[in-house]
Amino acid sequence: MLVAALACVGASELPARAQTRGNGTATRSGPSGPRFEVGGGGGALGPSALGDADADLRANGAQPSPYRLFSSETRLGPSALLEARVGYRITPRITAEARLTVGQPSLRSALSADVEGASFVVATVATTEYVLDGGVVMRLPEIAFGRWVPFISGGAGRTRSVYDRRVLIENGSDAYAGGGFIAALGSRRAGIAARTGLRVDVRLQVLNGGVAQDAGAVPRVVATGSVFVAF
Amino acid sequence: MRGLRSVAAIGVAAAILCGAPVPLQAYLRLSASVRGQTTPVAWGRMPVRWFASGTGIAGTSAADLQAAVNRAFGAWEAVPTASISFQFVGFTGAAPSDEDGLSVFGFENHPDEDRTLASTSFTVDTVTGEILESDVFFNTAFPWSASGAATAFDLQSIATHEIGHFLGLGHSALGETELQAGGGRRVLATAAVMFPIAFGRGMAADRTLQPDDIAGVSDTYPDGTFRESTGSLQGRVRLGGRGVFGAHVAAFNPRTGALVGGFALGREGEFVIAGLSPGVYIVRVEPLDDVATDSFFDDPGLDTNFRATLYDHLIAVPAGGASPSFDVAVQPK
Repeated sequence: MLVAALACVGASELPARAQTRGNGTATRSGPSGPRFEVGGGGGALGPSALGDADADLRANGAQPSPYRLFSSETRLGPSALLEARVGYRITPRITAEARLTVGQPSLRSALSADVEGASFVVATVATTEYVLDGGVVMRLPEIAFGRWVPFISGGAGRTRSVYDRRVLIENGSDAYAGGGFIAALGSRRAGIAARTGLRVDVRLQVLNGGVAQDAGAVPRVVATGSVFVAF
Repeated sequence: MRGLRSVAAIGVAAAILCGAPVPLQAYLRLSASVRGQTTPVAWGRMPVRWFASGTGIAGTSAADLQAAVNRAFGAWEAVPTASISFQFVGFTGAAPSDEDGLSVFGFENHPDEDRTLASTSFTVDTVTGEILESDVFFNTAFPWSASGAATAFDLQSIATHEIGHFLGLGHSALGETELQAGGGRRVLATAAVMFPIAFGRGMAADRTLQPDDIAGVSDTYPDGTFRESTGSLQGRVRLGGRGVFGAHVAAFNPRTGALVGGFALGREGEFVIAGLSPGVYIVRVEPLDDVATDSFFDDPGLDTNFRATLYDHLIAVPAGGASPSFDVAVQPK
């Protein structure tokens, strides 16, 4: 999706032109300043519930049906994450970007209510989760707080969950919407061609398939902080 | 064999997993001594040809019997991951208990076997382990119905179980029972048609195979894609540093609800559960104490003196492969 967006931008790029109106106002039709951004940082994946499931037997007619052997409640645990990001500023407000995040949430099932009294236990398995998604960031400079410019964002992509030393790999998809703040730190007047900046990002991510198989759309909160270089 | 208690009956030169070491296998399979080795038995050629006895009983004609058995065969043949087929040849005057080269399903009166609803017997080639003949009788000491009557045992359900034996499957331990005042056990619930104790009169639930039955028959007669599209989990059951022979292990997939069972058949407590769709599984271990152990093993070395245990790791099962081996430590009662 991101590749297609970048190709369209590349094909339709026009040189900036100044137009003079009757009142002397000059406007520009293209983005000013750096167009490309590369960033990286860290953050946290929030937990998400993957559903309850009872291990059921078929009951004999005289008994309530179904007959529960034990109960399970499964969650994807919280995790730290690392993030890498590239973006292309299409307009002063709009940036198209691609992002890779890597985290290690553990899958956890709380097992209880065993019919023969087996002790309660939380069964776990380690996973490494990769998310590659593409989306759009829209800056809102009109409500900036000093250096900090708020933005909203949205996009979608693919997920890959790798279990237990690559024994099992499951693929799925994600979609997200969120926002945050960007602060540019560099300065043109100092002659620095590249600009550095900080970005804090909070988004609601919805997982489908992969680790969330059969659980429907599974939401979770993701928060990141990163530095970026624009050039 | 199905009944109020059950021991799978095997004919000539066969035994159920006697104490001699057996190859570790995913499901309990009926075995025979073949060239001095205990070997699981199976049909070597398809379709398997069968006959129906031409003698009915009051309320259930020979045609009713044949139709019910045919439907039961259909349930097994419909398993998409198993390569099996059957052919009804015709009615016969031969009895199921005759060793005549014909595989016959029919009624027989066994009033002395007052806890045996039905029984399957085999004739096995002791050189190859191939099943040559298998017969099933339905005990007329009990009332039967091919139409689901509430006061009789469902012929199709019991036939479905016996055909599992006919194919070489042993019993499944996926079920819960309770002791009855007059002795014997009553089944509370099961997760396999191959559980040794039948549901009560009028119950027809066992006409439908469960994931455990499907995994067992597919593992025995796999079709072309079965091995590469499913996986297995493997490990050991340990008690105080030693293996627990005969422990019952169940694998539960919380996404699909499938429950598939196996046994620790190795002397170090080793077990394998195969035929699992790829995914993450919950593992439960329990002693074999819901049914008489001779329904499963002809071995006095079974250990049932430990508590049921839910394992504290989730097991990832890949397609076409096996999980890394793991140990489940159980505690004494």
